[in-house]
Amino acid sequence: MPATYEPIATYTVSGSPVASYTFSSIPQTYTDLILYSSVQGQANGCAPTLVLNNVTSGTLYSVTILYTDGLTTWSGARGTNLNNFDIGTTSGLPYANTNQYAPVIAHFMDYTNTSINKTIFYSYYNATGGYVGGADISHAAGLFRSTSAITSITVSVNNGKTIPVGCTYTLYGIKAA
Amino acid sequence: MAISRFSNSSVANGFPKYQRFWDQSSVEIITSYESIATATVTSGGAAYVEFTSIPSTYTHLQIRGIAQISRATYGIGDGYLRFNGDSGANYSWHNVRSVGSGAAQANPTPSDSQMSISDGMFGTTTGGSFGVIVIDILDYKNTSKHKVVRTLTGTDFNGTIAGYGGFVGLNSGSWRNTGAITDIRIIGSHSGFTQHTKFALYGIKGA
Repeated sequence: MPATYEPIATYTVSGSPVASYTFSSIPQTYTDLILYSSVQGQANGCAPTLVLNNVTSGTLYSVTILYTDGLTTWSGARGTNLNNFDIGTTSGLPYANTNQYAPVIAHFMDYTNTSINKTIFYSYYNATGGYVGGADISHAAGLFRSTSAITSITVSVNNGKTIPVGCTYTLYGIKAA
Repeated sequence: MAISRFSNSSVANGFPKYQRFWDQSSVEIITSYESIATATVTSGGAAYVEFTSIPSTYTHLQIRGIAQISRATYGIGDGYLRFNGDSGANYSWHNVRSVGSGAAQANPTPSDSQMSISDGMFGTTTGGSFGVIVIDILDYKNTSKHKVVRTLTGTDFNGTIAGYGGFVGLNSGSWRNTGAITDIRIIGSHSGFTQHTKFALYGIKGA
């Protein structure tokens, strides 16, 4: 019997920055997935993005975001008809200090259910050192308008940037009774 | 031939801290994060789901789920908690939420007969989406504390319906009762939960 909460795979960027990384052939034996990440940005700012099942066309993604950049009060934003999950708002991920990373967490509930479109919960938390000196906290509900089971997750960053060396991503599976 | 191994401390404490069964092929490991029960709404829908007789062997509880409300006109639905059958005005709750544009909203309610866990953050049949939710209940069996709850929840349906788009928010709630939680009822608004709504209860053990 598998453990209730167990790691599936871990990826750490090494050698040189990468454009993206894909967790592929995700086991279909869990109820939920959680992706825990420690991610850094690059100069002039960027935010984390996700793609599911290698789908990057058809504008099947949308998001509703709650965010603050640490300089202003909490605000709302919405993105519709997107080709990925992009929850970047203003200051994005940290980059002013090479030792500064931000937690990025994504929950994929009932990811194998083929009767429903997929809704995820996606957040990142930057304490300091983002674009224009800000530091985003961004929480989002995201919709992937596909009833397909999630079999792959691709991580990347926006704004034409790459994922720096040292960034780490770990995918966990949670099995309900 | 199956082989079982029990540690001395686990036997003395009455439950296995570590068990290994060897039937020549499989291994069972007991962990700190365990699944207790799952409630899935079937085709007839349900006004609520309920976890009863919750074991007192954990330190914290977590509920993870997806939820859709049967509701006309709007794409957003609500959800509530009650503990141990208490429907008195013993709950407080507040949230900060995004309605997809403009300033975030806050909704404080100091006294209520149930605890809001989704103030427009569940999906509905009109919007066609499900909301996602993670509920953390810390120290659920501590008889010296009022019980507090943290909830992350949200829904999206690619735009707006009747002037409202998806909501996403952070919620906090309090049940002003020091009793150990043995029963959790999750209630859907309007015409209740639809098929495929699912809530899974997990227990988290301390050291």
